[in-house]
Amino acid sequence: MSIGALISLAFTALIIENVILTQFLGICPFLGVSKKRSSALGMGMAVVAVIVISSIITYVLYHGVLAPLEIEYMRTIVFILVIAALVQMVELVVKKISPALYKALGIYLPLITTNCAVLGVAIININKEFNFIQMLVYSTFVSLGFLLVIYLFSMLREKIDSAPVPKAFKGTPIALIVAAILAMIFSRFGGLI
Amino acid sequence: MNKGLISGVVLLVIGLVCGLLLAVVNSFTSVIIKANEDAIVLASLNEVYEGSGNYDLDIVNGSGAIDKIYVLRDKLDDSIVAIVYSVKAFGYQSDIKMLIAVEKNDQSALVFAGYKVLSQAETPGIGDVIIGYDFKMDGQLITNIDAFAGPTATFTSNAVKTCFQLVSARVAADFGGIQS
Amino acid sequence: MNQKDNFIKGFFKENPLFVTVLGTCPALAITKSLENAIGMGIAVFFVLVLSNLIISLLTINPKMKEFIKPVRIPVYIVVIATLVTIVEMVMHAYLPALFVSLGVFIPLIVVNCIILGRAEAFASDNKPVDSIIDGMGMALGYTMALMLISLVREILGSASITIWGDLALDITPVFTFIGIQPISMFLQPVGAFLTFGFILATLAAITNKKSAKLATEVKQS
Repeated sequence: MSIGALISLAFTALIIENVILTQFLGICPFLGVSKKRSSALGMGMAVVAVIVISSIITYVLYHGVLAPLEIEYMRTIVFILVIAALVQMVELVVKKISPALYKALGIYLPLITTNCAVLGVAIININKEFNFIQMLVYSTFVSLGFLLVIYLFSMLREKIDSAPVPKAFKGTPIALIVAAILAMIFSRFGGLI
Repeated sequence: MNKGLISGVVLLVIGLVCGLLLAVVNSFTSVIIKANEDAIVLASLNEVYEGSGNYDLDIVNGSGAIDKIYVLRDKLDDSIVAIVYSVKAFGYQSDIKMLIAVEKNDQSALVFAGYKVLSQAETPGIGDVIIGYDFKMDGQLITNIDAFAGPTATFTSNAVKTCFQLVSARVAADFGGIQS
Repeated sequence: MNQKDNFIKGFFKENPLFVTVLGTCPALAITKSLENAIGMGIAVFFVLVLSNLIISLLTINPKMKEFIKPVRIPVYIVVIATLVTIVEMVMHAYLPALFVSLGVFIPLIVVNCIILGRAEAFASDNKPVDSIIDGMGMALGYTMALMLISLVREILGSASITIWGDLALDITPVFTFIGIQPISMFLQPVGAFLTFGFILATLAAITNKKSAKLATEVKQS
């Protein structure tokens, strides 16, 4: 596995196969928590932290426990419980270590359990048969892709708020149309490789 | 009794029941899933080496990049007619799995008899190119890797070439006598 | 609320996808074809109805409910994840093609907010029969919404509807008559966002018109 292949894996995870715009994972927070730039940034960073940590734990659990015991079918249950417990733990730790950070991220953390990007990435890591380093690169850049797009999107939405939008399109519909244009732009990056 | 403890026990019991249920369902479905997957492999085997069904089939577990080795033997004298390798290499962002068949030609030289890409999760639109793409390896001597003509210098195409190289490196020894 | 209203509400008044905008990830990802939408709908139906039933049975006894309360979210998650895994295994065994095309979105039913939402908001406070009816209504409403999106996308994107290998409907002549090609963009992510956005806007327009009409009627009387 060369460095070049790792870089292309990272670029693909970040842009070409962007987790929100082409894989449709994490659409709920993407539409729900992107009305303001500050909240989008907070949500995005919380997601990056949780995805990277949960990917490592689930990967080790799968290859260290589930696969040797041949109970791969317990995957979904184990992964979602790990993620739920992890989110609670991250919440407690952040609260204790940095109250300021907790204030910024606190309200987004509980929402992450049901963010399908987290469980999705954990499962994709297994399905694609990544080795440890690939898994690390992939989950880091996928989650950074989430942060990038949700932040870009929140800036667009702040502008749209002050624009005259037809009454029927107010709220979610116009957000989806903007997301469509964003998806169109991102899909074109595929030609780079 | 402590309330929290009972709650914990309730959760544990529900978890155990669920785990047991899954084990039972799995014992039924895993057999069918395995059979389905084998059927797909055997159908593909016939695609890379026509008439596979006419020979005796040995399946040998490989190691590393070579997952399985399917040895086709003559039904009468038990000599090796062809060997089909299930081999994988890392492509653009996932493993490329392919089947490569090798047989002896008229001059008793080893040649690639056929190949097929089994599965790949490459980027749609980029990876799709390799399915049905002619790498011009049919009938080539196993030593003649340079005949390879894929879309040049993409990760995907390099991975396919790597698969051919892996097979080329060991097939002569396997024809000499493979032991399962 | 009678049982009929309880069943019907999932279709229009509280449609999980179009009104409460839950479960959007699969709605955008797997609606490339009608066949996928139906497959997803069946999976969600099975999981939602059974999870509603099991959770309402678990909480039917007030004492039991008391014990479950502090650990209710993990309990719900375990029950739902088990059902989803069963669906995943059965689909892998009997419908391998559908299993491959739905891919990661089958295990992801676990985090579909509709299911956890119904468990928390309805099943834990209602009788088993009502919970089953609620689950059926919600799941069918969701399936209907998925089918609507996929119909638009598949017709515009490939000018035909294909179900399980048999060509069910070919409307290429209509496209030729109008003089346009199938718009493959609708099969790509862009099309998913666009279709969903326009359907939501259409529904909003209808609702706006209705409420405006209602307002004038109230004024007149």
